[in-house]
Amino acid sequence: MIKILEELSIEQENKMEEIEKFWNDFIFSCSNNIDEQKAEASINWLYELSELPQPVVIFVDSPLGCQYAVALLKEIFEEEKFEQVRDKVRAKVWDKVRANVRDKVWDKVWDKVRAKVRDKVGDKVWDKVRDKVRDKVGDKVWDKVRDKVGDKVGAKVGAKVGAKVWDKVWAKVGAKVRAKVWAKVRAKVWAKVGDKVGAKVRAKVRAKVRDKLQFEPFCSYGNINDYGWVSNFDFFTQIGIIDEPDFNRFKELLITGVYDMIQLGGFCVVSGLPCKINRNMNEDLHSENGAAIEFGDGYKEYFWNGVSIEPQWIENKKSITTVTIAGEKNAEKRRCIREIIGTKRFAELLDIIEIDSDHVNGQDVTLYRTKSIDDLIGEHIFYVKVICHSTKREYFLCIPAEAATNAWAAVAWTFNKNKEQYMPSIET
Amino acid sequence: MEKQYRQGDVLLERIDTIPAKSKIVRDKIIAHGENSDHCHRVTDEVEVLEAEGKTFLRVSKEGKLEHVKVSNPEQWTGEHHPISLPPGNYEVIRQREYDPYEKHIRNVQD
Repeated sequence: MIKILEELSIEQENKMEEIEKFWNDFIFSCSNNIDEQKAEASINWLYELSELPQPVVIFVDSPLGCQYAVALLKEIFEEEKFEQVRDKVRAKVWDKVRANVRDKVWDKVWDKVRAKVRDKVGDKVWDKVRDKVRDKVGDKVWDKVRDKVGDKVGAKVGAKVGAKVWDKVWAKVGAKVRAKVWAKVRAKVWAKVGDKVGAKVRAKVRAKVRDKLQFEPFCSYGNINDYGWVSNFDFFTQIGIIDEPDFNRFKELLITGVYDMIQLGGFCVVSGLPCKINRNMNEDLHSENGAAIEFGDGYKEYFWNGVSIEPQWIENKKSITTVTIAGEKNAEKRRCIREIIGTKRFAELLDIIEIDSDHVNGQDVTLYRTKSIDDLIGEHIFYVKVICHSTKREYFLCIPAEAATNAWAAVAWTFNKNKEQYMPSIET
Repeated sequence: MEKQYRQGDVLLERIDTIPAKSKIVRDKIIAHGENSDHCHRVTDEVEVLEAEGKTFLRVSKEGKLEHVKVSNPEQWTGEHHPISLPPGNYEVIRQREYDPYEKHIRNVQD
């Protein structure tokens, strides 16, 4: 019987902080290597809970590695019918795949990333796929896998797994116990882990893989995005309000060191946690000297105050030129460039001088013009610098010459207004 | 001059009428961040309409313009405080910039 908790004791308040710290440190300490044996057992339980056959579990070091691993699996089983693959496994198909099929997969991967992670990710994925499948061919796992896999090895069950897990776990733990510490634990952990790391890395992987390979969606449940709600119920568990075996098993899965996974019929491809994470004071992904997040196979991404940026902007600041700035269509990224190289250098590269400034509605605006006529277009280029009311960040927006009569008129043009028409009464 | 409300790169301007052929759209998000999980969203009390490539708002009761996360629309981004919108009609105007090399005007991407 669930005990109704009306208020928290001092010890329980302290416990909340302890739990919040545990879950945040679990990923941000970058010191938790995946325990493959325990993770596999937990994933088997997860599939069983979802009424699915136990999968072959493949461990890789990054979410990008997960995508490569699935591509390899697809390549193997799309080229050879399932039954035929089984026969060839016992002969020399693995050598053929290793020599040829793997190269076919890798040829679809763009050069830059391939060069960086091919050896590390490729060999690891290959070895593990081979060993796992070879070991289990002929036994009951093979039969289970075959039923689910059919002709299309890549058949996805992510949504099915996720929804079932969610329904069962949620039903077991009960929605009514969640409210008390929702904001204090769950929201805090979620904000730090889910939004600031998980969503950003997923978006990057999706963007990288989209046009090169068929992107396989990651799971709905069984990754760092679960830290939020799990930390919430972890609190209630640790203070003795609930003790739900299925929830405890799910928590065990997360603390084996799983970062994310792709759940397929017959296969589950799992990434370990990052080996490096750098953040700014606001806890956004950020590094001034290298990648902001990096995984064990070398997959890494660069962020500047939470904004995804090009690696060379950090690794080789001298590579930033006038062309870099002019070619960057995203105002937020241009702002990052300015912050990375400094306003002085930014202005030097754009070759601009101030020609007017104004202060209206508490906002400083400055109008600039290139010192010399641009070689390509044969005229001066004009920029207006605006400062965001909310974040105080500075943005340089290019405007046409006819709008550059003065600083305020330039800002008004950016909203398709003239100086007399543009006068917002509220700005946030 | 009609009243204007600005939230980051979005300007709302009060207008007398919304074009008759405007169609209501379900999406309450009126501007997405291209490089972020952020968006500008109006609350349920506000109808979003589109016509001739423009976006309009019809606020029947008091509405609200919020800056929230796409992945979790109930969560404020921490940037750009909400703006209360008195009942009335509004045109949504996105901030824009000029590309001198392509001689092209585009919405500001952030």
